Amino acid sequence: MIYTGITALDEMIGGGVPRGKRVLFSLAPGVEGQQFMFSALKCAHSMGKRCLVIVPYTTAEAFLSDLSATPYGVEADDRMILLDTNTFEEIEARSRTPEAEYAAWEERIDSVCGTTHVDAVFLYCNRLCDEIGTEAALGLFSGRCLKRGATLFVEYLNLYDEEHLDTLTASNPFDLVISIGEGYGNLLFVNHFMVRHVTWTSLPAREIPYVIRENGSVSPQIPKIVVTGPVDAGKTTFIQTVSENWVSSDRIGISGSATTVAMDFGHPLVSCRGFEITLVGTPGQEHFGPIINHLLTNATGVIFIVDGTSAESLSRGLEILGTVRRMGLPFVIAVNKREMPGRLSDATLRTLLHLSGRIPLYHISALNREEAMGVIDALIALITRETFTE
Amino acid sequence: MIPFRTGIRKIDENTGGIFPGSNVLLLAPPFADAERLAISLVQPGDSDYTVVISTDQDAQEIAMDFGLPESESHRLWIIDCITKTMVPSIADEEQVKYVGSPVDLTGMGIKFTKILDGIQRTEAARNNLPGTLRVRVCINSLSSFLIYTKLEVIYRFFHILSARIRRMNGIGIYILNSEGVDQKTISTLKQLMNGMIEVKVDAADPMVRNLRYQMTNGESVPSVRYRFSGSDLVEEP
Repeated sequence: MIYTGITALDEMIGGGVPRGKRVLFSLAPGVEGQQFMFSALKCAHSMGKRCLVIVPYTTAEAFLSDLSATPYGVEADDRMILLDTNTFEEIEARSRTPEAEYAAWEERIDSVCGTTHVDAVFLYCNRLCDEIGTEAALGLFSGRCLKRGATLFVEYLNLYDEEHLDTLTASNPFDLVISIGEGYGNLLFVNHFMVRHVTWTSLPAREIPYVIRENGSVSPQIPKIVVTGPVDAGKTTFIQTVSENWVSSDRIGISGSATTVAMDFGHPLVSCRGFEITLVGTPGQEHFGPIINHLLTNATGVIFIVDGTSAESLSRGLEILGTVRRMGLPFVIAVNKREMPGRLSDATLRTLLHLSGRIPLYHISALNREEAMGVIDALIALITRETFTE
Repeated sequence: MIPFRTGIRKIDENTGGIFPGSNVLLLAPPFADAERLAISLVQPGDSDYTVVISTDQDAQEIAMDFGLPESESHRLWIIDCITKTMVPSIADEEQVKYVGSPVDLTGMGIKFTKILDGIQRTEAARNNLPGTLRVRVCINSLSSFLIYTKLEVIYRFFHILSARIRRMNGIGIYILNSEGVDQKTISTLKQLMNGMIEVKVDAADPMVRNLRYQMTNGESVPSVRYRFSGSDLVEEP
């Protein structure tokens, strides 16, 4: 197993990339996504693997220098073999035809792999594809890695479209195909990655947003989890419990207790499953309905909280849940006030909220951080790993 | 939208300048000072920025050729595709980014995005009102890109870049040596453009050049005779 080093991605694919698998990172032009390959290389090297890196677009020194400017810097040692632009130009200069060039590359790779065991190959393939043809270039490494049990990582600049990627992967099978693209919904300042295909686990093809931090590392994001539910369900408490920083718009309501009149906003204390998440809390009262609709727009997922001791609040809850359902948003149900007397049974809750038996109910105390984080964890698993059907 | 002034009187008077969203092929034979003409065309005006993607000159040379005063130096941004081959450890600066070589199209695209972000930040830091950035882009040169990479790949890459320039209402000037490529290559690359400046050396005086400016919307300036005096473009009668 070789980790990609991007926790959220490793979590999604079951821990990392199993030995001997073939991975393709397909980058859209202009999108900062080289860190995916950098991170996998850094992990492989840190794990003591012997790595063969083919970088035909630059010199080995420049490549290592670029890496060292990111958190993914690696030391050039005997476990790091680089074939760079000098190798490429030397082979190109003495090969009269693409076939001769292919044969020269075959010979070079076999020679490197024959003298020392290689655990992982990292191929920046565009220049080679341009020179000897895409199928030949990928086949050259794919076949050899399969035969020798080496894990293959390929970075490919996709100047075409997703259909082109499908055609490319149809003729050159990969075990994991990740496309990295621009924007995420209406958020243009974040990019996204998508696991389009994976052979060793089951994952829906879904865009996952990420940003590049100031230090150059990849930070997957869940940009908008909306915490909603009827009034006094514990939404604000939930956000305050899990958040390092939060802003609330609570005001004293008619009942004399504080109630949210606009929205709550929070950043959790820790990232969850490798994601940085942002929580947005809605008010619960009926007259704030239009605000709730706006806050739910473009949500990545929803935590729907109800007071597990209050049957009368559930009719309002059903209305809000109806909006969530109509928008097709992934949601989890948190039943708050677990520690209070007079709890409703699961059967009652399911009946009043029209929930099938397949939807899990998470009984929590919104004051308990671990329990609250468990709900977020369940939602992230749903967003990234499962289908949303009820 | 206000056209980008070219600094060439005949073009500016007849057409108002290059219309935002335009990609213009600058087709010139060798030794026709195409680089100097391109620099003249993309000199940043009072409210705009220039991005140079260079495979032919390093960042220092480019900055010298532009000769911007210190107060205006924030307007010039460069992607240098050659220095890193000689100085591998050279690190990116705010306004100068380096890529491994002219074949590193992945790096080039990313650095272009970063530069646009940087320009946006610079505008914001100068308390300018948010709006459309006015950016002039110079590709120096397509001929060099074609030495390293196949036409199809170059076409695709610049298809994406030119679309980006069009979308952001900038202008792009792409230098191509007319004698270094065949007609098919010129025709292919012309598909990315909505204008062309064709330069010829004057038969009578080798120091004088003659340019023809033609846009696909019908605007044209059939002939501008000019010479360079230092870095200044001087129009001939």
